[in-house]
Amino acid sequence: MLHPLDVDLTAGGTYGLIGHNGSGKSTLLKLLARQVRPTAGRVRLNGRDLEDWDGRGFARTVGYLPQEPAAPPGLLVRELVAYGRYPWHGTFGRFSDADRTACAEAMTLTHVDHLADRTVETLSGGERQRAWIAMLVAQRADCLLLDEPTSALDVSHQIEVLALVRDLCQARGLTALIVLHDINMAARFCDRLMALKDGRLIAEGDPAALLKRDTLRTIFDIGMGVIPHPAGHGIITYVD
Amino acid sequence: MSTERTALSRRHFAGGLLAGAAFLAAPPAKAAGGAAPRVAVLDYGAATTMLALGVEPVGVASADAWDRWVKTPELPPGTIDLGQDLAVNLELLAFLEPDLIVISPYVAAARPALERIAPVEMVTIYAPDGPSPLERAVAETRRLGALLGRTGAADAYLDATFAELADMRARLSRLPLPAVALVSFMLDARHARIYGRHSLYQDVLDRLGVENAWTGATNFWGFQTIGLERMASMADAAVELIVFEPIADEMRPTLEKSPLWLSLPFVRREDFVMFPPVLMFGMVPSAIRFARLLTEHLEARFS
Amino acid sequence: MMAETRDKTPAIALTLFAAAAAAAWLLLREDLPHLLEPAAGYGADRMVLLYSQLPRLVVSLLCGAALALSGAILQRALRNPLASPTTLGLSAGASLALVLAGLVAPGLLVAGREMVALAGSAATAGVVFAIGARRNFDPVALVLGGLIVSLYCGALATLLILLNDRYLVSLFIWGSGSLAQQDWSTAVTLGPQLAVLCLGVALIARPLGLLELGEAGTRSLGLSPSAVRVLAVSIAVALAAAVASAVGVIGFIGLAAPTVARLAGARRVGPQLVWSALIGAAMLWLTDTSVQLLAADMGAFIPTGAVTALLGTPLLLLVLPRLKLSFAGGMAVLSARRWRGPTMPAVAVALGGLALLALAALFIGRTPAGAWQVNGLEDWDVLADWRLPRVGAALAAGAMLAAAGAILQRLTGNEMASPEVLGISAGAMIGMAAILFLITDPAYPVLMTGAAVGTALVLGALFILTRRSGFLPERLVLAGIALGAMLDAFIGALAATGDPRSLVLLRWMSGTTYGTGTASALVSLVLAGGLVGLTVALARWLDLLPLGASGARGLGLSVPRARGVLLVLAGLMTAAATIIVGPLSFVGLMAPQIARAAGFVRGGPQILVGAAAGGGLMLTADWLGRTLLYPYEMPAGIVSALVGTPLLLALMRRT
Repeated sequence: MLHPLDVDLTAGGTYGLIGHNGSGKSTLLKLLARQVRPTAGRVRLNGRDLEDWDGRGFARTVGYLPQEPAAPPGLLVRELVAYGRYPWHGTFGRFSDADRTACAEAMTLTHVDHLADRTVETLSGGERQRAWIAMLVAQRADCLLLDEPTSALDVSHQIEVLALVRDLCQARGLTALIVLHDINMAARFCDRLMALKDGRLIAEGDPAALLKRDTLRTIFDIGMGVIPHPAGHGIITYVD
Repeated sequence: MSTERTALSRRHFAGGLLAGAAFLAAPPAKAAGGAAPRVAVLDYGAATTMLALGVEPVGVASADAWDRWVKTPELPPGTIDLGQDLAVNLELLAFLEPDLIVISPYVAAARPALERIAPVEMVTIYAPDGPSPLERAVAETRRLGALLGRTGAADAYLDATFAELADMRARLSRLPLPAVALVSFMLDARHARIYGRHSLYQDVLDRLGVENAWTGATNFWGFQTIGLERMASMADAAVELIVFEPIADEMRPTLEKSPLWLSLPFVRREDFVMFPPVLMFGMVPSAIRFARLLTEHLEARFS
Repeated sequence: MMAETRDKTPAIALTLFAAAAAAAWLLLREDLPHLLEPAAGYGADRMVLLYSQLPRLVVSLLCGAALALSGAILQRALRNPLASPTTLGLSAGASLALVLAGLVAPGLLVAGREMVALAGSAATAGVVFAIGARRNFDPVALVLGGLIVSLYCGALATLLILLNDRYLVSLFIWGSGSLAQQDWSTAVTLGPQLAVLCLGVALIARPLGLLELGEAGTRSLGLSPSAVRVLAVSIAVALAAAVASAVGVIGFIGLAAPTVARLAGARRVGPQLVWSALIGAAMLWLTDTSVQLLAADMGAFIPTGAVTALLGTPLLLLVLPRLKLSFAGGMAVLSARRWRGPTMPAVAVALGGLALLALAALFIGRTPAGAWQVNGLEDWDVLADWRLPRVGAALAAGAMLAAAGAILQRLTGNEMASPEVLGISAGAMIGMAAILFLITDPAYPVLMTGAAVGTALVLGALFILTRRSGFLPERLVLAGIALGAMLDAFIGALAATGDPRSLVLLRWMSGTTYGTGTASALVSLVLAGGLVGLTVALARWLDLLPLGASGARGLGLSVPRARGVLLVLAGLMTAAATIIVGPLSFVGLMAPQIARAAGFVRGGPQILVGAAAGGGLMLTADWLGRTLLYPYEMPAGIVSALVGTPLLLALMRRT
């Protein structure tokens, strides 16, 4: 799936991972999240091979949101958020005051306080994603890996979720790596973009630098243009 | 809440029975010399043997189905039904306070529980090898006689039985007898159980000098389940077919329509007869009952 | 997969037919010349050939074809590679209907066996599809539902047999499918029935092919998918019922033949149906002829249906890895309601209710003369000797089954999973059966050892079979089902030979606390306390696993290890409970769901409340079994199934 690629992610900021279907975006994210093991090569976190991390220690550093997260029916939002503390208290540990504080903080930061006693399956799409992100925040991971967190959402919810992730990164100094389909959303909310094609990293840089006509053609194989956002929020791409 | 609060106690139980069954009105004193011991029996065969020795069991397992399988000897009317033989009611059994519980290997899994109530004796008629069922039954009858203080009765009963068997053999030896096939339709109209080697019936046939038409293999219990068509393989020679009851009602019409059944030579010649139930896994009383039925039938037909 | 795969079905069908014909020639070579003899006079061999062998051959071909066709239609119509008359419970439903009719209204059987069987099949199909509809006809869920309905029908039939003692042994022959024939009547009745149904199949073949496009695709072509489906399933049900009423339950041909046809490369609907039918006919012919050859050698009676089931099990296991199973992770929405109040007091109330129930079961009973009574403390020594151990053992077994069921349901994300389905109970039974047949008069500890060895073997096999997939839930459940089916076939074959020991086995299988002593009850209670406690301690794993493998892994849980440990725990509890109440209880299925339906969603509370419900259900069942037909006893395992299933259905309806 992936060609050898060498990527360094430095701490802080939002990274967008873009590319056509089957370009290896999700695979790369799963490798980084330790969801799949590399058949060759190495993935390191803080200079240490991922193989050498223990499960909970890794989860305290890296949080991962799968593409279609499943919550069992009847689960309350506050319970879901509390699951984020598993990497800290483990199987038999007590649910301490520190855990309680982290959960409360996470729910406030992600604006799900008022949903705490709702069951997850009764939430709207955007609310549900916010609840899952609240769980990741409670996890206190420095790095969030989000696999297409907006794929099933309408525009307003997409903006709600991505703005939340960006704000979290700014407020708490987190790093987020997000797989995104919508280039305009990526351009709007990510500090840096990485473009994959056929398992190769073919471009990397800040949105304004990366989203050029020729680069876009290489990435997506169709003619695309770029114009400045009318209200001054970066740039907008369009198909010829 | 307990206007009718009745204690489940032995004293009460004896009283309760007085109302229902008179025979226990004067329960025999335990272990008093000469008095009949109180015996609970979990095996029909052992129960028939005890009755033959003049000991009435206090309780018999599956007593409600006695008539279907054993018929004769009749069960005394007051005998307590202990519940199904594989799961007799232990609470009830404990209240009966028997001196002895008689079982067979078939129900041996319950032995540890039964031993908490009374000493347990196992009567073994069927075993993988060793003596034939009738020989074992004779030995077990003597053992039961000794256990129940009926040694004399046992000897007398066995002597009388074998004298009768010898007499019947002598009577039959004068007749031109065909071989007999012994089957029961316990399954359905397409399959029969046919009895052969290692069965109690076979032992009786040997004693009477009558030939068994089924010489094929049999299982542990001395029978073989066969499709009806295999009965045709015995059909060449002169064979008298004996069908044991019970037979399910819905089988009769099916059998009466079956061309294979109807074309079996012994059916066409009407050389077949229905026998009332004879316990196939029984002991000496079942053997002599079968012998009498058979002799009577053969004498009626062939003399 | 590969578009250019050559269609190997004709070759396979031909090979099977050739093999069957060769076997048949071996069997009949000495008799065949009789056909040329003049009809005059009585020739035993000739009669057997004409009225037994030849009709049997024809019936085996007809039944094989009909079952395979039924399976192929079901697999197509439900888009489910595991669908078949066996796995959807159609055969078991027909069987139970005939048993019931035989007991309640024997006249019905004379008037119309086929109609009775059809009603039974149709009723089970209705129940199974009602269960399946809740999971969007997810293949595994549907098959699980079908097998559970099968088990339930089997349990009911078993109870009827037990209560009617030796008399109903005939049901076993029928239940394990004997093709023995004594005339042409079966062939003559079955033939036209199948011909009419085949006409129906021909008419729906084309619409059936369009179903492959999926719901929306079919509808966009102007076809109502549900109408086609209902029609197709009705024909399949009728085919299965016709066979069941004629010769009994013949397992797995309906699954095996279409699977072979599909794997061999028959992709389009027409060829798939035709080749399935031909392969099915050849398969059953070959099996039946081989069974006759073998039986002649061994001088034993072997029902063909039991043999096909025995052969079908390894086949199912073999085919499993090749089937692409779409599996929607997560629990089905059984209940979105949940308990909102504080959890611990509610759990305490549940446990208190259980204690009350235990007291009632202990003190309310029958006098030896049969009257109902409430015992006082003055009877304590009797109660302590005979009732207390049974109450304790039933409680322990119910609680352990409930906890094991809760683990399995959370592990597999499937509300129909349970220890009964896992096949572990079956393993314990096979171990005990082996001891029973090896030793004339086995002592209780020896039997226990047999059960433990059997359990360990099945657990080991499940471990090995599913380890590579990281204990992938659906593999686990299906492997368990296959093992359970094998046990059924084994017991059925045994019982059909009429060996009285099979009744002993039947008693165990039906599950009874009978004869439990104080010591073994205490051991069970201690085990139950320890193992259920351990499960509660691991509740966080049980909470995280339903988030799906990636979700749980993302939170730092080692998913294979958690699954492995929980599996062993469930296995231990199942084994300990099976020794007490047998493999047929359904408490492991129902109790966790009752807890869920009452609103206890998270692992810890669900297990505690579920264990209370399971213990309560089992001790109620034991009490009913002891008292209702006094002095006759009904096994707690089966009574719990009879009591619990309506309860479960009521709970499922409400949500």
